[in-house]
Amino acid sequence: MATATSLPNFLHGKNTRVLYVNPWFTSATFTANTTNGSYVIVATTAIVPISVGQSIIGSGIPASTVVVAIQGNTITLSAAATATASGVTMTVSSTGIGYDFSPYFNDVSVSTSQAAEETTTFLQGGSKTFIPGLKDGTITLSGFHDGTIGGTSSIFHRADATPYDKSILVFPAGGLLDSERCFMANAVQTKFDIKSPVAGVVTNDMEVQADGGVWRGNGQYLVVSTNGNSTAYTPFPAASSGTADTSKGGLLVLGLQLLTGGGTIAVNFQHSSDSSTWSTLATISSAGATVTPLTGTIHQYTRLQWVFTGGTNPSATIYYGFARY
Amino acid sequence: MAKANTVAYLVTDKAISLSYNGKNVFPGDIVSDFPGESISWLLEDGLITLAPVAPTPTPDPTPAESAPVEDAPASDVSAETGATN
Repeated sequence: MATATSLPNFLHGKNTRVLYVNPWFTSATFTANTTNGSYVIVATTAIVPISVGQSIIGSGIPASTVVVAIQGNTITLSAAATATASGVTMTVSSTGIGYDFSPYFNDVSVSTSQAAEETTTFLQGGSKTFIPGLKDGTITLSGFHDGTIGGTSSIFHRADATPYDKSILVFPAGGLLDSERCFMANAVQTKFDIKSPVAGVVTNDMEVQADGGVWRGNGQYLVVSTNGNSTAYTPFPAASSGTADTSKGGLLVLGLQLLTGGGTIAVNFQHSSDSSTWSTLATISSAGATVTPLTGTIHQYTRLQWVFTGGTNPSATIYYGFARY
Repeated sequence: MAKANTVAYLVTDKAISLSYNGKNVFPGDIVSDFPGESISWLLEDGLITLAPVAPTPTPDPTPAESAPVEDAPASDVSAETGATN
């Protein structure tokens, strides 16, 4: 009699997406050259982190202007400059900052471990015995070096200068589907190497030590243009409504990378006991990224909701990762 | 089909926002159409409370002759009830 077998479902690494979030970022200053009537400015002092969606203020830059693209030291804005000038002081700001590192790196390793504490005593038959100890984790990234204003060097230089945890979110399958598996950690950056071989590309290695463990969760990276929400997700499909709530909180990374078309957006991470009415646990409404350690009850179902207000053909790039403790 | 609830509830400040049936409601909103099955956990989480009932004004047949009624000061209440510290 034939028996049913489950077939493996392997992933190709080419689709992996890596997001890096510094929730402590508020603003940074640099200088740039502006050209009257041009949407493009050219940074003349680099080494600051900058990301699409950030607001930008400077002489000759209209109010409410945001960064819409970064290519090397050339920055495209949402509005044209009103003056031609050199060495203009620019300030970019956002509530936290998040980067999609996928264009820079080509290898990511998420490593978790658990200590085994020896409890061997006399007269136990000659074999060592152990109990589970503390969990630990690291995430390492390696790829190519970019020393321009939005590149890896700028980002990690700033990260080193901020003595607080950053977060890394890894989607092995890309994060484009509803509630896709992800790995995430709040972490202390412990290493950033630049390798410059005489006969090769300049590369970077970067390593973080998880502060509180590496967590396996679910999340998504998506571009949205109309109001909507992700499909309700529960890791407990067999449970009745509410019976699979958890009580130890969780780790939530929430990001809004770019909003175009004017108007506003509210991106809400929600939970529900019945998949009918939803309560917002955390929200983000301006470009940036937040890391929220949630406490207490997380109901059985979770989802992401996004609501646009105003604007013309608005569009936003948003992402989240969530793991229950 | 979920049974609609007809009792009015106040969304508390503990809620950032609540979503149901394509609607978003916020703290301070009074809602009477939450899905019935959600009421218990929303109350348990403190996200909603029973909405305060507005007092129904009673027509006063002789308003001009009515004497104003003032609330008694707290100290007077203590004296009347014999409460001691």
